Amino acid sequence: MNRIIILTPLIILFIICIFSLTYLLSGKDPNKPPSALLYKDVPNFESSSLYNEKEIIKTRDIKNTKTLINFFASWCSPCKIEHPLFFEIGKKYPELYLLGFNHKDPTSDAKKYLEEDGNPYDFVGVDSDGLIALEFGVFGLPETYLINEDGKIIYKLMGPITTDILKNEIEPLL
Amino acid sequence: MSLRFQRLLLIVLTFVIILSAVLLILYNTRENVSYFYTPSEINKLDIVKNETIRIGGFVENDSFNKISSSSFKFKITDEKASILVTFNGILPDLFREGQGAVIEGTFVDNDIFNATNVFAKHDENYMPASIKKDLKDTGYWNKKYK
Amino acid sequence: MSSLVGFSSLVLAIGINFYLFLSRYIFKFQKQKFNLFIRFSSLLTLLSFFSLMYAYVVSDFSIYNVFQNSHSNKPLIYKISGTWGNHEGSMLLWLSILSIFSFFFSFTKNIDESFQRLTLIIQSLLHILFGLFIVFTSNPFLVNSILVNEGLGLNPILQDPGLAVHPPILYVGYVGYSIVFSIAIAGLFQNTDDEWLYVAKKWSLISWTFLTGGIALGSYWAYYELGWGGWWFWDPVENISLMPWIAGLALVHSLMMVRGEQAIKKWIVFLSILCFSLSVFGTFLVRSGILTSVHSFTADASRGIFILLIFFIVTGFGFLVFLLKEPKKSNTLNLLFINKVSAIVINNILMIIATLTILLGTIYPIIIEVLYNKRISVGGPYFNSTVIPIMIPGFLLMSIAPILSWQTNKIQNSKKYAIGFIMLSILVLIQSYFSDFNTWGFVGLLLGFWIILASIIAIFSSYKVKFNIKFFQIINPHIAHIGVGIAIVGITCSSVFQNELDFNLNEGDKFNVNGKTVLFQEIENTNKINYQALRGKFIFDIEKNQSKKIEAGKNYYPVSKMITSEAGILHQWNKDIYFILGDQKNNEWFVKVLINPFVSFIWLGVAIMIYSGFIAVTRR
Repeated sequence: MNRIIILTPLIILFIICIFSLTYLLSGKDPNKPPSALLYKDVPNFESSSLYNEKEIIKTRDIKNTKTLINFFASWCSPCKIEHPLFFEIGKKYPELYLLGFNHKDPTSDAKKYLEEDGNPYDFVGVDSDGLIALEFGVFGLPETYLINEDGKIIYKLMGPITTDILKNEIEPLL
Repeated sequence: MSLRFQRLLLIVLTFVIILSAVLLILYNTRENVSYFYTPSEINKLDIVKNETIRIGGFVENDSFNKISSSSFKFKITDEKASILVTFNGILPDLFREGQGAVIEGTFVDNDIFNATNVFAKHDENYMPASIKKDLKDTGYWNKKYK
Repeated sequence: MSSLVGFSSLVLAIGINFYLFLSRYIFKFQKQKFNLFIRFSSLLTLLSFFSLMYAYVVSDFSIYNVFQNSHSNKPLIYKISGTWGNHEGSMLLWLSILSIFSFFFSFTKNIDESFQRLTLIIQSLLHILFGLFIVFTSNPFLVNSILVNEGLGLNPILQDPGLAVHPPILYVGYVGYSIVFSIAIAGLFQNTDDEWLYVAKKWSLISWTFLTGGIALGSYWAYYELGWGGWWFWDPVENISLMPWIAGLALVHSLMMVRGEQAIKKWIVFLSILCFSLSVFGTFLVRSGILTSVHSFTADASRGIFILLIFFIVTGFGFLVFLLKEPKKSNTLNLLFINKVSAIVINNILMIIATLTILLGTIYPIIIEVLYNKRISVGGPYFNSTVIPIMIPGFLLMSIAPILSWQTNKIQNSKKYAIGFIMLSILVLIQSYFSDFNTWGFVGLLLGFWIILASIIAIFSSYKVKFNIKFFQIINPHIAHIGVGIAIVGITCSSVFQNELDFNLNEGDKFNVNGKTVLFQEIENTNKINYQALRGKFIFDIEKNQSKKIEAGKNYYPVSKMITSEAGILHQWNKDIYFILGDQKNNEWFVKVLINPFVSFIWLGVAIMIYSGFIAVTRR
């Protein structure tokens, strides 16, 4: 009897730990509501290149290839932090199409930014009025979307990419 | 009173306390707990009218309406579904369109939710883009880094 | 540079503790040397903490942590408090306080030498665990990968004096239980005499007093800064600080029994382990971001798992030792129907039930979500209607408990108490009959005043009144209980009799608050150094000469695009009048006025409790 009473705190401890662990591992985070666009078709967009206004990219241009879409701006500091990682991604997955959308930026600032930091993108689209971001449901910069060959969004990240996220969340999908 | 009787009395008292505590907990976990849903979950469920629930999501862009200085109308959304909310009172400082919010209240109608409490959420690590813009505008952000 | 100094001293301190831990089994050395090593590692940990603080003060943005959380325009005090305003820094503060406790404990005299060493070795183990946690998952000394000349941290909500001092004091309370934990475990291992109980009492009193101060500062901050008009919200972060507080209260009381030679060692050890476990569990819940709350800091699963592991190791180790090295059968309790022993036993049972109730309410959402995949929130109503009824019999008991005898059932001067209680009941009943009767209000007021009255009767009828230190030490338990009584009166009045008035006003309107005329003078917009201030100006009691000005409004911080509310509070000794400025439409402003009676009594009661906590430490 005495032993059983002394054992109870240990048992309670086990129960609490098991529940907490299951909860932690289930990856539920009430702070991040699931994106409605996940597993849906990529929204329609049309955008001209930052360097050449006549060069246009449309939704159907990215069909049949895996595409990583990144919204960035020269005034966005977390974008600077994740920026070098796109070079890594580009080097590691040459067949992946890297599409950057420059969000609400003066063209000169955007160009300067990509000059100083380098340009990892295969195509830089201009989204000066933020309409494309609206279509995607962007809440803030940076945001990154992964589109598969069928034109479906299979991954969405709010906030900057880190090495951990790249390794654990994005690379398994590539 | 004999020593034995006193002790028995104490033990009985202890059990009464524990029992009433357990009953209190059982009663209150049924009565005083509110469920938390996202807007799209609500459309799938039959929510009982007048049951206090919480809804979490984002304040839909361009949905905010000021009816008077103390009553507001807005939509809360998780991008799949949205719910029309009315609220009387003072909105929290961090409340704005496009930001996360949790509202507590009841359905007065099938599609109008009457909020009694509004909590705005603010994530420290993921700051809205506008902050960075201001940083840059005011020259805090050094462009010539390398 | 400071990152190098800080990181290397942090690692070195962990290394020394590792060495000390091994020294028990492999290389042995004398006590003198052992204590020197402990102190050295404490100083190294402090050096690490201060080098981080230095980096904050000089705004060294080459450290990522400083870059993320500081800004060169911040006032100096908020640069300093920024050191622990973030996850990494606060964990380093936690570790520093742990090592400060080891430092002071190494100076304890009149204590068995090998016992002291064993206690310090357990402290070293804790230091290693938390140190590794910092190094591997939350290193504050990471160097920024890009070069910047300005930081990102200008969160105006975190720029508040209350929030600057609140975490360190709360942490002293939390971490103080680590030494109680270590003493209890060492006591289990050595199991020689009961001398350690006296040592444990002193340290648990210190921790409890600091915890009280920390919790009170937190709610004081919520009351004055958050601008919601309340001071306790049953927020998960508040709950997890309340749990070790109540368990610690039970511990302090059962340690009283040492003096009556009635100590149940087993129970004391259990409580000591429980207090520290709850402190670590609280850290786990906050740091894993598992509970969403207004204070929520960060959500990182790997950190959560690491600290869950620490919680599991510490608590599991504690209770396992408890299971295997169960203390010898202690002397049987002298339980009578109403003597000091039975009063303390019942009080302990009530407090543990209250702690478990809060624990259950706090983790219930996790359990439900894992089992049923449903999200629920357990809020104020649950806690109010479970915890308070459970505590009420305890409050009744505490009014007379200090003068109960150890041996017999007699209560001295029982007639005086009976008369006092009856008179008081009639008085409170009359009072509530003439104001709006409210059951909770009646019960709360009666309890609070009864505790105060009974303690005063006890002081004057049981002791000779003298004014020296010794007298204050003797009546200290009564003083502490008077503090609780005053706080109960304040809590009851401010929550049950709170009055809320809503107004829609134009500038120049007059309105009525509590029988006094208030003028809504004007709205003023001014530009301050780093924010714009919008203020509604009110003049309270305009018809009298002694009218008071009140300003309520909002601050807008353009750099961080944030708005903070600034409530205007008019303090009077018997009530606070709390003005909140809401929104406007067509120049008509929404103004909410809360009348909170006797709020000041809460702070007064808590101050008395803290005072008697310190007095109790001085008494052996």
